[in-house]
Amino acid sequence: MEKSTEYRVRNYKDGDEIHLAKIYSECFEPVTPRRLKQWHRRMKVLPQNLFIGEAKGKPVSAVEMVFKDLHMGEGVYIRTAGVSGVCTDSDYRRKGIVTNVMKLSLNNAENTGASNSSLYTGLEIPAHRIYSRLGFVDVMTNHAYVKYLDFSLVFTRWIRMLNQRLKDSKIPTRRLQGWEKSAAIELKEVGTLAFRFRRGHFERLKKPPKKPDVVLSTDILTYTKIVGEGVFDWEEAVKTKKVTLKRGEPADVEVLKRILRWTWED
Amino acid sequence: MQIHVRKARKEDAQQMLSLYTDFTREFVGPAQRDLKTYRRMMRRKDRTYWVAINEQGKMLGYVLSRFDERRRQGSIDETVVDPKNDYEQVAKPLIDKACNTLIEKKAAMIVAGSFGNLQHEKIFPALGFLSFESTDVFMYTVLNTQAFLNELAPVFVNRLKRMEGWNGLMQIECEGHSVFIQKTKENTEHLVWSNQPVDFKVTLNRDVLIKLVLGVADSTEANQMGQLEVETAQNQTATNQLLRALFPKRQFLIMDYW
Repeated sequence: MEKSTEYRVRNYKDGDEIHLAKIYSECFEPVTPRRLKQWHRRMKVLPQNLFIGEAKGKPVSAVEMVFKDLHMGEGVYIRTAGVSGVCTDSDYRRKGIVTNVMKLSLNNAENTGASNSSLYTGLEIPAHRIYSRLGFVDVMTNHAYVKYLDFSLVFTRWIRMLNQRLKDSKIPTRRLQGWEKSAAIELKEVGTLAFRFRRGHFERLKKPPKKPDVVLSTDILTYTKIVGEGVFDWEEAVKTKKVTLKRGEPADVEVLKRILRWTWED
Repeated sequence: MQIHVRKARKEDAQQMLSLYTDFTREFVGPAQRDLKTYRRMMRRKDRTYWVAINEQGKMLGYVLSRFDERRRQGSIDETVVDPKNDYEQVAKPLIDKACNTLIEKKAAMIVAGSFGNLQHEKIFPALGFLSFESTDVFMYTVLNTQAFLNELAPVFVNRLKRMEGWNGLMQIECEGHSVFIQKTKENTEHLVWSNQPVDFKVTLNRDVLIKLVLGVADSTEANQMGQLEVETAQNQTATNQLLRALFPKRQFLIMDYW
């Protein structure tokens, strides 16, 4: 953990959605303050159940509580304090802020009568470690199904999404600074798809360059697992030849892996 | 059986709620819903509910699909089938209809997922979907063990009530907190406390309790692996029977997100 920062924890107040939308966009997906408010309204997140970590006069971290009754068998439902929207501005991570905000919101949930709490997260993101340390247990992973109807368009949308994500994410912007490279992905069932990163922007290439900086070959299921947050072991995939790295300096391959998985924190 | 699939109407909300309640009864994890939940969900323009109707006009199931126009991405979010019918038989035409409509809307991809619906593995791959384990995970913790055990007491009472051939005092102890259930020929009840000799005592930690209660761990296996401790004069067969009665292997399923 890095050096401590002065901060305070308070409940949500009107106007916070402007800062929160920026943090949400960085942590989850691009969202506007208006859409964020709509989400809170729809999920019935009351201001007293939205906890804000504030540093230097602005929100830097947030935790929401959504209360639901879950079936425990025999027709008995038990109220759970559902944790959601856990996020921290990347400039304020590794300072224990969100852990403390989580602890305070869980204490509050307990004081209001919730005997338990539950949440959805990703196995590979740093937050999973925080939740485990706070006593959360993995119950079940999601099983995903994907059907492609127009893969070329899916790829174009993926490139657009990368640019949208990049706009709000400080860590990848820093990490990609100076990395002006092209990459080709050979998909057995679809063909070769290529993109390059130049001047802080991802760009789809209609034709793969003659000598891309990184060339990776795989099948569509493996590719879907990589970009679609599937359970995936890169080394194992290389060993079993599910993924073949045909060209590329190790450092460039590492960056491509991060772009595909969109995981930027170690 | 002939199944007709049509778009859901406002007046279907009550039947859809009843279907959901019946369908989720056999699972642990589903969230409680009310009529308002359905009315609100049906008002949303990006969502379409398809319902399956039999020859008699009875609703057998429904599916919820969504289309994100900006991303040209369709999704199949929820499939619910009356448990009196064969899941695959009803769900397949529903999902098929939802997929075809998304294709007509020019979706570039369709995604679906489920936390615990094992039946989907028979349906989606057959419709040309790629299938894989995601890193999305549902996590659970107990904040107040005594309160949690007290809330679970009616579950244990009902389960023990159905257990024939055993009467006595049962104690489930988790990290210093206990729930006591007394079973006699006439009655099964939750006791606040007792210093009577306990006939069957299960000691476990919070993690094991969560996994057993949510049906993702097997109680007899947990006993064999030393994850829980049983103190009783009963033999191994009776012990396993009691453990299975208390913590039956139930399918965990959750369809609500937050």
